[in-house]
Amino acid sequence: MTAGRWVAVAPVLTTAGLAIVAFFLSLWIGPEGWGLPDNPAAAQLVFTEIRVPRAVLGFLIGAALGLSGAVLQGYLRNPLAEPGLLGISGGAALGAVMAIHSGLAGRIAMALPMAGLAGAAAAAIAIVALAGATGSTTTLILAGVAVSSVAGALTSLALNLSPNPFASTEIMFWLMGSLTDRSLIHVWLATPLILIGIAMLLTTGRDLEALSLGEDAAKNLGVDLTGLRFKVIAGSALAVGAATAVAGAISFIGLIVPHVIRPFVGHSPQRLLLPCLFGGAAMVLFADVLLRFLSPQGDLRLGVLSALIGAPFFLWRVLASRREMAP
Amino acid sequence: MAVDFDGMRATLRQVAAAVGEVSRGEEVLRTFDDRLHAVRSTVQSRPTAIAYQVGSFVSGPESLLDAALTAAGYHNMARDLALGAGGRLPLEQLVTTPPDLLVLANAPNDFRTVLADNLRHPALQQLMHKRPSVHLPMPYWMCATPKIADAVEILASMKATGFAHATTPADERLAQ
Repeated sequence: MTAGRWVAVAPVLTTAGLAIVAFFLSLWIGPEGWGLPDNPAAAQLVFTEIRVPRAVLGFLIGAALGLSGAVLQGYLRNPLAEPGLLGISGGAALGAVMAIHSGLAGRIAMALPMAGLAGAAAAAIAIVALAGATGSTTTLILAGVAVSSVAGALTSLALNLSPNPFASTEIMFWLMGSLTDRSLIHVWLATPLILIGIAMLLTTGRDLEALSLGEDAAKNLGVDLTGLRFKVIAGSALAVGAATAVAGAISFIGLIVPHVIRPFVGHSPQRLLLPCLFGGAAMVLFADVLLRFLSPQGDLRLGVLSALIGAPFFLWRVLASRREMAP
Repeated sequence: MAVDFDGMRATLRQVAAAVGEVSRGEEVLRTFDDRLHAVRSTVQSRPTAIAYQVGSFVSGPESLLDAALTAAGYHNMARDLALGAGGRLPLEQLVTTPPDLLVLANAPNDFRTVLADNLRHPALQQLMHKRPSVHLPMPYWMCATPKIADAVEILASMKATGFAHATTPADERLAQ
């Protein structure tokens, strides 16, 4: 294998290895420590109904967030871009909260995640309506910020007015995310949509590479910018929308993972995609394992921990980039 | 807020005095004490129980449900788990070491939000097929009123019949 080829493959293998290790750790840890219950019947129940859904969702949700962050940062050519910025996770949270508030969630089983998906779709449509199907990337960012702030404000308002005495715990779930007590039903619901979204996002690599030369150069290279925008927005809406609909909004993963991995792939947007997919999965799973280790009773939220783990990486990147830019 | 029967009695006397119905208040309390006494005199062995709520909260010591469980002749397993009054018990731990009687302090569909997903979780449903369970509606235990005697009687009658009546409203609602 030539050195160039090795540079391309090594980050993928490393992040995939980390994700696999994290996946098995997630299957192996419970609130009472490592391993499974001694009673075989209880062990089987715990493994198939509690541990497997948690690990599978952790992997898929992390993959969706990491990949979507990498694609959005490449497409918008903005280092602060992440799925939350486009308002997709905010829209999903709002959809779910509106289902609670309207009483829809009380009448139909699984109405809650369904409404989350509808909210994510509505947010994606609103962004395209505001920013146009072609338009500049700056307009898209502004539209995303507008949609996400409106969705955030309405989410808080609906929960403020809620008659539900547990509303504050409910807010915490939707705004900070959690994999606690997810079941196989959630896995079946979210997996197909996340996989379709991931597949769409993975096809953008070549176009993003061309786009890093600027929009005009990309057009000359034959990139269909309208098609690319559709794939970026629809892919993110499907993957991140489905993720948020079953586990709430887990922040920071989509922002931080591409930044950590970028120096190892020679700053190429295309080669960033797969490592970010696996890197996101690894980060969510490691955060969730640590969560069960630190707070077995489930009081600590996943989004909080992922931010706490992510922040040092981010600081390290900031300092490294300052050194690189120093005269 | 009152967390035991004495606290409830004090609150009720206070309310009765405030509305000028002292004698009726005493009468309500006498009925309550009679009902409690009738149950207490039958208590012999102490099977374990856990009062499981939305969000995996369980009622620990210093809660009305703990007082009800104790009065009805159960040992509240939450006491051994070192949880506070608002402590949580992860579903996985409940499934691993289940009590003799699972008390659902909320019906699975009292709250159709993510917070109550623990009560609708397939792992809990499977546990309820194997273990006796009973649902105590929230009005019995949420606030400190003599209604808690209803909860004590339900719990005691379940025990007296060897959990023969462990078909629960909760099961029916789950099937919906």
